[in-house]
Amino acid sequence: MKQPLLEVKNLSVSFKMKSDDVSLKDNLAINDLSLKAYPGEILTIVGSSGSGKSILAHAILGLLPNNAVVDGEIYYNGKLIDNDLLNYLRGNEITFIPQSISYLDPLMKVGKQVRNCSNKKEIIKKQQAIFKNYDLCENSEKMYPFQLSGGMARRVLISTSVMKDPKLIIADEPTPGLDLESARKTMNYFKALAEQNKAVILITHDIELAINYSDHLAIFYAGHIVELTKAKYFKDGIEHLKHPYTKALYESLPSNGFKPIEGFQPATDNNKGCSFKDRCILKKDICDEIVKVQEYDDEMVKCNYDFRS
Amino acid sequence: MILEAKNIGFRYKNTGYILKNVNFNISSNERVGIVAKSGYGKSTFAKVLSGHVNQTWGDVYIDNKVISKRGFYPVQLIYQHPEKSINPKWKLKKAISENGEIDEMLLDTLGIRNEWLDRYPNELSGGELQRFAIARVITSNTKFIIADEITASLDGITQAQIWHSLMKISEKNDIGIIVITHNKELAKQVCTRIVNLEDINQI
Amino acid sequence: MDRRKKSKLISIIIVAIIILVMLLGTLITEDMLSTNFKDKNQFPSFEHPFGTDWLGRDMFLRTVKGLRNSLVIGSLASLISSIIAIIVGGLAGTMPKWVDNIVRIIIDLVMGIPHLILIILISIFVGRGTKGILIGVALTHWVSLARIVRSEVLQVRNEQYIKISRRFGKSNWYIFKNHMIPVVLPQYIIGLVLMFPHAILHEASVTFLGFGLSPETAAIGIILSESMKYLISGMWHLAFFPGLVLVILVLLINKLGENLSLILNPHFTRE
Repeated sequence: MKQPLLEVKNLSVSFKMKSDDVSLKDNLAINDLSLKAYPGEILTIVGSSGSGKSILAHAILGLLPNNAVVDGEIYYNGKLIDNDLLNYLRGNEITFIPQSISYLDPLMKVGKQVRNCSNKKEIIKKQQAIFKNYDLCENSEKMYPFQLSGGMARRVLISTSVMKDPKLIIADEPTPGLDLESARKTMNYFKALAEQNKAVILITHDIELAINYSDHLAIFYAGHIVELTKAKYFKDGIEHLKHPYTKALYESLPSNGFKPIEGFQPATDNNKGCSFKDRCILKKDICDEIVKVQEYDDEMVKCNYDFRS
Repeated sequence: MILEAKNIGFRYKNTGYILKNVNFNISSNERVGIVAKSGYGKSTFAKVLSGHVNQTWGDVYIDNKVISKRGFYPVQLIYQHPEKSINPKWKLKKAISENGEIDEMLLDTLGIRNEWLDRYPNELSGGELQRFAIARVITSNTKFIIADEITASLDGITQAQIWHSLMKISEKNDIGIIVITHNKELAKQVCTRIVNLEDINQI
Repeated sequence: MDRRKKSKLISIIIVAIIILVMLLGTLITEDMLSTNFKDKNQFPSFEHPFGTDWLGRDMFLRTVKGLRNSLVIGSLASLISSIIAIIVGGLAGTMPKWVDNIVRIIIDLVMGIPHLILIILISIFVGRGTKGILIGVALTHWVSLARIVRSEVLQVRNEQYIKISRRFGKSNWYIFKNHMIPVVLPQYIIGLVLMFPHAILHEASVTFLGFGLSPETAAIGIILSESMKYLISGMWHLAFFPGLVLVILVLLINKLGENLSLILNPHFTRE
C-alpha cells in the first residue's frame, strides 16, 4: 500500500477576533479535518465558494495570519511538520499556486520573479525552458504582470511553482473565470506534473472539472472533509459514492439529473454530531451526538451509516 | 411578448466589429440558451439586449416597439458575480427592495432566509447573494431576464437550487430567460432552445 | 471595551475638548488680556500657569484666546474649502470628460505652487489681515479633498451596481444620494477632519511670518513670532507653552480623524 506524501490529521483552524459585530461569533473555519495526498496523484478538494477551502491551503503552508489558532497535525513523508521543517519545505519541496495574480509583484518583470531574482545562467535557462513548456512565448519573461492575459498569468504562476522541482504542489482555485479550453489546458498541466510522480492538491468549487482530471476527491462541507473518494466513482455511478452529501452533489449535476436537495450549508461550528444532519435522509438519533469516521485504504467517510452492509 | 434584436452591430471606437447584423428573438414562454466560444461576444450581446451598453447600430424591440432607456428596463441582466451587483454599503434588506417591496413567496421560492436581510453583502456567500441579485430584478415590469453565467462560481447543489427556482419564477410570471453559459449540460437541462452566437453573428 | 466603542469615546472626548477651548476662548475678554506692567516677565506660577510676557499679559489666557482664534479661522477656512472640494470633486466625477480635464489642470496648477507661498500671495492680494488669511487658506486647501471626492465618485460611477440601478429606472439624484454618498461620505468626513489641522498650522505659520492676522490680535502665530525676540533673554516659557499647546491641539485633531475612520468605515469581515 502506498504511503501518503502529505497527511493532515484532525486539523482545526479558528480566528481570534475582537469585535462587537455579532456576525463574527462563528470564527471557526476548519473543524477536525483529515486527508491524505499521494505522490503521482491529483487530490482535489471540492466545496462551495467561501467555505474555507482556501484556509486549508494556507494552513498546510503555514501562511495563516497571526490571529489564527491551529490544532491538529500535519505529516510530510511520515514526519510531523514543525515550523523549522515547514520553513525548509515551503518554496522548495512544497509550493503553492494562489488563486489571484495579485500575489505577483506588480513592479517586477515576470521572468525575474519566476527566477526569484537570480541571474545565474542555469537558473535563467531553467526558467526559459519552463516557460516554453507552458506555451509562454519568449517575450513574456520581459512583461509585467498587468500585461499578461488571464491564461498567461495562470501559466506564470504555475511556472513559479515548479522552478525548484517540488514534490508537492498545492493550487487554490486553479481555473478562475477561465474558458473551458484554457481550463482543460491548465488541468492537463497538473496531470503532467502528477505523471512526474509529484503529489498535487487542487482546491476548487468546479466539480465537473475535478471529476475529469483528478484521482481522488475530498468533499468539503461545513469546515471538514466528509468523504475521501476516488474521482472515477463519480463516473461509474452513484452506488460507488458513500456520504449522503456526496450523493446529493452527484445528483445535482446537470448531467446526472439536476436534482438539488433542500437547505443550506451551515456555518462551520464545533457542535456535537454531524454537520449534515439537518439535510440528511439517512439521519438517525445518534447523528446528533457523534459521527463515525470510517476508513478503508485510501478512502474515508464521516458517517454513522454502515456502508459495509 | 416577443423580444427582438434586429441587425445589431457593435464595435468599440478603435476596434473591429464584435457583433454584426445579429438578429435574434425570444418569446416570454421560452428559455433560450446562447452559446459560443469564450471571448466571442456573448456578454457584449447580453449588455446590448439589456440596455447596459449602446449598440453601434440596430435596435432592440419588445412587441415591435423600441425599448425606451427611461424608467425600468424590461430586460434585466444578472451577472456572474453578485458581490459586484450589490452596493457593499447597503444592508440586504435595502438592496432587495431597490425596486419596491418583495413578495414573500418570491423570497420563499428563491430560498432567501429572513435573518439574511439584516446582513451586509460581505457577510454572505456567493450562492446566498446571487439569490438576492435575482430576487430584486423580479417586478411586474420585468419581461425578460438575461442570466450571464450566473451559477458558474457556485457548487452543484446551489446551482441546481437556483435554476429550479428561476425556472419556476419564469413560468409563473411569464418571464422569458436568456441563458448564457459555457456548460452544455446545464444549457440542455434549463433551456427550451439553444442558439449559437457564432451562427447568427456575421462578422 | 472593544475597538469601536473606544473610538467613539475618544472622538467624543476630543470634540468636547475642542468645544471647551473655543468656549473658554470666546469668554476671555480684552480686559483679562490687558497689560499690567507690575507683573511683567514672570515665569510660570500658580497665578500665571504659563507665565507672563514683557507687557505683563497672562500667557495662559493669551494662548487660549489664540487657540480659539486659530480654531475659528481654521474651521471657517476648512468649511469653505470643503464646500469648494465637494462641488469641484463632484462635478469632475459626474460631468462629461472635458469638465474633468479642466478640473485636473486646475488641481495640478494649485498643487504645483508651494502652499505657504500661495497663501501669502493671496493674503497680500486680498489685503492681509483676518480676511486675507481666511481666503488664502480656504482657496488652497480644497485640493486634496477634491481629489478624494473625485476619485471616489469616478470609481463608484463604473461599478456594476450603479449600471444596474440605472436600468431599474433610478434617477441621477437617487443614485447620487443612495449609492454615491454612502461610499464617498466617510472618506470625505475623514479628509475634512484631517484638513483642519493643516489649515490651523498654515494660519499660524503665515501669521508668524507677518502676513496673517494683525499683531494686536491674540493668535498663536503672533505669540510665537513675538516670543522669538525674547528667547535670548531666557524667557523660554513665552514660546514653549503656546507651541506645545498648538502641537497638542493638532495631534488631538489627527487622533480624531483616525478614530472617525475606524467608526465610519464598516468593519469588513474575512470569511
